[in-house]
Formats: sequence, C-alpha cells, structure tokens
Amino acid sequence: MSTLPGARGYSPTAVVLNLLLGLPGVVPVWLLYQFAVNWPLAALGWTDREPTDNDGILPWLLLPGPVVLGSGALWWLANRAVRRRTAPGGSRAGYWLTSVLLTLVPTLVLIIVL
Amino acid sequence: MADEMVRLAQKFINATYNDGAMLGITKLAEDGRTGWPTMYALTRALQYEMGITALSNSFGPTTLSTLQTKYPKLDGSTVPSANFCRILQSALYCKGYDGGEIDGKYNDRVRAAVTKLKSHMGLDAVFPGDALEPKVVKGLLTMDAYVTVGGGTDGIRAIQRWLNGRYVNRKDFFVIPCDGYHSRDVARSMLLAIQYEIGMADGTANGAFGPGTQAGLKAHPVAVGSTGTWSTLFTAAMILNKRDVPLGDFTAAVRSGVEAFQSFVGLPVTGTGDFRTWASLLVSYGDQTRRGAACDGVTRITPPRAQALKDAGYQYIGRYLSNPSTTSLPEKQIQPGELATIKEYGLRCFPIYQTWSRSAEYFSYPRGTSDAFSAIEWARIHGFKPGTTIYFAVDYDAMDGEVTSVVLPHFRGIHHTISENSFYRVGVYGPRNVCQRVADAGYAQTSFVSDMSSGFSGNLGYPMPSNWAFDQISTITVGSGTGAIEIDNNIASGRDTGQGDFDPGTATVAGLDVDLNKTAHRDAMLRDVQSYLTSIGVPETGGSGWTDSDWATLGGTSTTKAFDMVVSADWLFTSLARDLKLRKALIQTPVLWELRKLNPLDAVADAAVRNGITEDCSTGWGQIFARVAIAARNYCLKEGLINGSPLAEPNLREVWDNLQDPFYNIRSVAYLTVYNAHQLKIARPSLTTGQADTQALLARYNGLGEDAQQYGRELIGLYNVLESYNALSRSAA
Repeated sequence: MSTLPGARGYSPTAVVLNLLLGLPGVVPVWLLYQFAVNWPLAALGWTDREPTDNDGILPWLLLPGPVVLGSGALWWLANRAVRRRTAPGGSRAGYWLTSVLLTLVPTLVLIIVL
Repeated sequence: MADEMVRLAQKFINATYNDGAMLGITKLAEDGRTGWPTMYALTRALQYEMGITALSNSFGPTTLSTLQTKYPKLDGSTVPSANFCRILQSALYCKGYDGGEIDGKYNDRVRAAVTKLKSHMGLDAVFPGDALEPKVVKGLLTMDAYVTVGGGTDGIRAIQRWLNGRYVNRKDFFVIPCDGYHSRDVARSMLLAIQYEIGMADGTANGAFGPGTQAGLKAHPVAVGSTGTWSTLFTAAMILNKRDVPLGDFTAAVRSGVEAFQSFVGLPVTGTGDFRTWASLLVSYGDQTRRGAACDGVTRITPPRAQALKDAGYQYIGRYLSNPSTTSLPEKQIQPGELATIKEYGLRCFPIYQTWSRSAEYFSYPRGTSDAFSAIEWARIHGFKPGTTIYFAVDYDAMDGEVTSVVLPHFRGIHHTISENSFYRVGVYGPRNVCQRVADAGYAQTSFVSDMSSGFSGNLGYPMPSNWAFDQISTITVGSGTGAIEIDNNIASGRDTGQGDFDPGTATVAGLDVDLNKTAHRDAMLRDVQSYLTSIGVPETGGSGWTDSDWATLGGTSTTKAFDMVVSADWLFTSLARDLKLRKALIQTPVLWELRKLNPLDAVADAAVRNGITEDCSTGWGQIFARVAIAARNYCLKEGLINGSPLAEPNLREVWDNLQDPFYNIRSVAYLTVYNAHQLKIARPSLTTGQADTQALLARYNGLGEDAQQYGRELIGLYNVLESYNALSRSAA
C-alpha cells in the first residue's frame, strides 16, 4: 500500500476522495476565507474589511454558515468511512491533516491560476 | 373562452369559401373564439350569397338595401339557400344563441333563438314573430351584446331596448347594443330620437346637436306632470348621466333628481327640464351660450384685458406655468408682472402645467414625476402659494385602456411628487373619463374638464366628474380694443377658487443640473467610470481577484449594468438635485457604487427581513436601512424640504418595503445626503459644496469610522467622474 509523506498508510482511495471533494470544496473554503478576512482577521487588524458591506454578521450565519457546516459534515463523514476501511490503525492526526491539505489543493490551484 | 359551435362556424366558412379565398380574406383561425374576424367573414359570406361583388367587412348601406330588397323577412320559407341559412345559424352561435346546429335549416331552434334575440334587442313588439328583418341581421353581425354585461345596468339596458323598439324603422337608426352601458352609440341614438320627435325627416336627422335640434328642445321643456315620449327621453337622459330617476313620466322624484343635477353641473336650479338642462344632459359642453366665472387662455393678462374679463363676470383665470415652445404662443406662459395685474383687478389665477401631452406615448410614471418637479419649480418661480392646485393636462382623447395603462401611472408620479416635494395640490385637465378615473384613484383633488370636445370618446357617455372645478365649454372673445382677449370660457363649480395673492416668487437658480445628454456622453462617461473603478480594484465584473475582500466576484452586478441602471433613472436624479439645489452626482455616486457592489449577502439580508428573522437591513438600489431612511425623511420634513407625515418605528417595515421601489429608494438617498450634512454639522449640500465636504458626505453615507472614511475616499473619485459629465450636460443646456 502506498503512503504519503507524514501520513503512513494513507490510501489512494483517500487521495482521490479528498481531491474530488476539494473541487466543490472551493466554495466553502472561499466562504471561510471571506469570513475570516472580514471578521476575525479584520478584528485583529491583519486585514481590511470591505467597507460597503454593513449588514453585520447575520447574513453570514444564514447562508455561508450552513453551507460551510454542511460541507464540513459531509467531508468528515466521507473521510471517516474511508479511514475506517483503509487505515484503521494509521495515525489519526496524520490522516486528517493530509486530508485537509489534499482538499485544499483545488482551491490553491485556482488561486494560482486566477 | 372557446366554444365548439363557434369553431364549427369557423370551419363552415373555411370549408365553404375555400379557406376565405372566395371572400377575399385569409383562412379563419378555427379556435372557437368569437371576434371581429369571424363576424367580418360572416358578413362577407352573406354579401357573397346575395350576389354582391365588392365584398367588405362593413355591413353598409349596400348590404342593408340589398337585404331589404331581396329578403325583407328571412324565415324558413324565404331563406334562399342552405349556406345562407348556415351563415345566420353561425352568427347566432357567435352571439351566444342556439343556432339549431349549422345544418342549413331554419328550424324550430333557429326560430326560438331569433325570437329571443329580437326580444333582447327590444324589437319584439315592432318586429313580432320569428323572422329575421334586415336591421336585425345587421345587428346580428356585430360584436354588440343584447344582454346586460358585467358593469352594465338594467336601467340603461331598458333605455337601449326602448330606443331600438321605438326608432328601428327610421332610416338612419340602427339597432344599438342592449348591454347596459352608456356609449357613443347610445349618445348618438338619443340625439337621433330627439330629432325624430322634433319632426325631422330621415336624412335630416343626423345625431348632431345642431341649431335645429337646439331650437326643438327649447320648444319642448318638461316638468312635473309631463308624460309621454318627451318625458321618457328626458328621464332616459337623466339615467344615462347616472341620475337615479325612474324612466318615464316626469314625477316629483324626477324633479328632485333634476334639481340635484342642475346644482351639480352649475345650472340654475329650476327643477324643470329646460333647454339648458337638456343640453347639459345630451352633450358635454351643454348650452354654449352660458358664460362662466372662469376662463383660461394663452394670452397675457394686461390691465385692459383684466378689466374686460372682470366686466364680463370672470373671476378665475387659468394660466400656464411654462411653455416648452420657444417659437409658438409667446404669451402662453405666465408673463412677468401678470400675476400682480390679476391680483390688482381682484381676479384669481389657477395654474396649468402642459408640455406635449397630446398622445399616449407622452404619459408614464417617470414623465409624470419629472413634470411634477418641473411644475413645482415653475410654481415657486411665479410665486404661487402653498395650497395652490396645479392642473396637469391630458390634452387628447385617451381611450379607457390608455387611461389604465399610462395616464394613471403618470398621475401616480405627479401625485407622489406634488404630495412629497411641495405643498401644492394636484388637479387634472382632460376629458370626463380621464378626470373621473384619476380622481377615483385618489391622484387629483379637482378636475378641469375639457368638455368642448363633445366628440371625444372620453366625454361621450360619461357624466361630469364628481370633483369638477372648471368646465371648459366654449372659446369666445371678450372685450374690445386693447382689452380684447380670446379665452376658453369655463363654468366654475367653486371647488377651486384659484389664488388671489402671490408670493414674490423665487429667482431662477443658475447652474442647476439638467438631464444627461445620453447620446453625446453615455459611452465616454461609462468608459471613465470603468477606468476609475478599475483603478481602485473594482473591475467591470467581479472583484479584483480570487482573494478580493468582497463578494462581488459571485453573482454581482457589472459596472456597465450598474451604470445603465443609474442612467435609466437620470430623470429622477436630475429632478431631485434641482429640487434640493444640490449636485446630481452626490445622489448618483452612492447609488452607482452600491449597485456595483451588490452581492449574494445583500439578498440574504433582504430575505432575513422578509421572513421576519430581523427587522431591518440595508436594501434596494442605494442599500439604505429603513431606520436611516426614516431619520432622513423626518429631518427633511422638519426642515420643510418635503411634505408628509413623520415616520416612526411602527413604519419600519412599510418603509423597508417602499425602499424596494428604486424611485422611493433614490429619493431617500437624496434626502439622506441632506440629513448627513446635518449629522456632520456642515453646511447643507449645495451647488458649490467643495471637495472636502462632498467626500465627508459620501463617507457619512456609509456610517462612521475608518470603514466609512475608506468608503468616502473611494467614492469621491467616482463623484468627480459623474460630475464632470453632468457639467458637460449643464453647459450645453
């Protein structure tokens, strides 16, 4: 069975799964990014908020919130099932970290391309 | 609604007459719907069967005379052919009667249907039996109804049947509809009936209210105790003018009705059916020898003319606020010093606003709104005091459908603007139907009725509007020498007495914004807007990149679209800027920016308010909070800049809903700029507001703090682009 660096026992199935999930995952990842830029990071002074948006946090909670939470739940359920089947004895932290990084790949590619 | 027997009738025409080719028409649609195409086809088929070679849609004199000559009574024994009978059966089906199949036989069902039809027409006494007389056939081949239809009244239908029954044998009298509606046909038939009763011969009686008819009416006054045909005609005329009296004898109840009518239309209250009353009942202008207390005209009121008018008994003078033409009627507009002359001679003036209101294309909500703003501006320049009623003209014969589709929206714009942006009142000038419908919609307090045009569809068959103030009945010349003046002579009801005193008037303000010259500047202006926005990270579409900090990347509005939306409402930006005496770009800039920056979160916030999750959010074109709009409007109200009732927290949802209307939203943006100056404790925005204050006002539009300052820095550049093109339009005006 092949392995990825830092994730011994990480299966090709998990690689394919997370790369595929990363494609629709562009949307929730982007939403999370927007939220972070406009709220916590802006509060810390690390980023500038978009001054035109002035309806507060409620709209974020109503649409992006459920989208991100729902996407995260599906991602977690899918990965849990794959991990139990393909790497039940592997490193838990390594599996999940690798999965996160793989899921982010399409988004990073898009950022580079755009 | 489709009818199977009508569809069979259409099939019969197509099958028998080579898909219409033998009748000179195209193939009929076999859709089962009765309409003029089917009636025309049946008319042509009848002409064809009678051997007429020049076929026509019209059931004219040739068709009628041929029918009268060849078949004065059509029944089972005289119908010349099966197809001839099928035409009659088809027509019966098209009119909603049982044609007894389309089998070419004048059978029992046809006979029953014909008997019923003639009864509905009121002809059962004059044309007894089940045969079809030529004038009945002519009526059969129209779209007229012979039963009361929705909105019609049985009282009017009784008159229609009575007229048919009594006069159908006169040469120029044809069967009129019996649908319970007063109409042009009914009005003409009433005049024909009077002419017949006067004794006019066929060919002389023409349905016109000429000298012979007037002389005849003068010889036939009716009063309590009158019976017979004249009292029936008089009570019929009363009923057609929506007076609730019994048809027939002139009773005490009729006298009461007459007194009320005479009082309403401004006639001497005699309680009798004298000539003036007859005239007012029969034609919109009534007795044109009457001299009113009001007039209107396109000539300057000089001292000698004012004296002449006063001597002739005139008190109220209608004059025009402006004149869009620089070449014709040079004195149409109120001239300098003229109102002082009117006041000096103890006369009073009511203002009229008219530009090119002579066709349906002119009228719209935007046009009404900008007209109202213009009228307000001119009324203030002339010095008309608050409370003055300004009459807005509908100077053409607007059909009822046009009143619904364009005139009412036009007056909604007028009413909204006059009510909100001035202390004046709205009047309407036009035909009776226009005036009444605008009044019924609540858009005008009083009416100035163009009754001189008695042939207008909007006057024929319509009673005087319930809120009439002036009744324009004739054009006359008053005075002589230097005092001679041609006027439209108007009866006054007293509902509007015009103005007898005037403010000094405001000076015309130089440098006010004008409408954008779109042809000359639109493309270049857009390019400069795009260029500026791109320079600050807002390209034509989306954000500045994947990591842009706003949502405009997803589902946003392009710069071009946002720009075109703003340009589409240029008339309103211009009007508001002129009214508030500030720069148009100050209102345009935040609206354009907010439209360009609309994103899905804005739609989510709107949905949250609609579903009661939250009370308020920034919304509409200008992305304004309802609470902010309320505060801005209340401030402008307090400052006397606008008119209306103060708004409060309970109005929050109502205002939020109103903000969905782009026009209400843009108005609120304009008021907010004024309110923001107050909040910033700087001078009210004007035509000379400097860059620093303008930027501060734009920043305040977005609130307080660094975010708002950033907003102001971004928008001042956009303001400068828009203002530069507005300045070009101003300089060319």
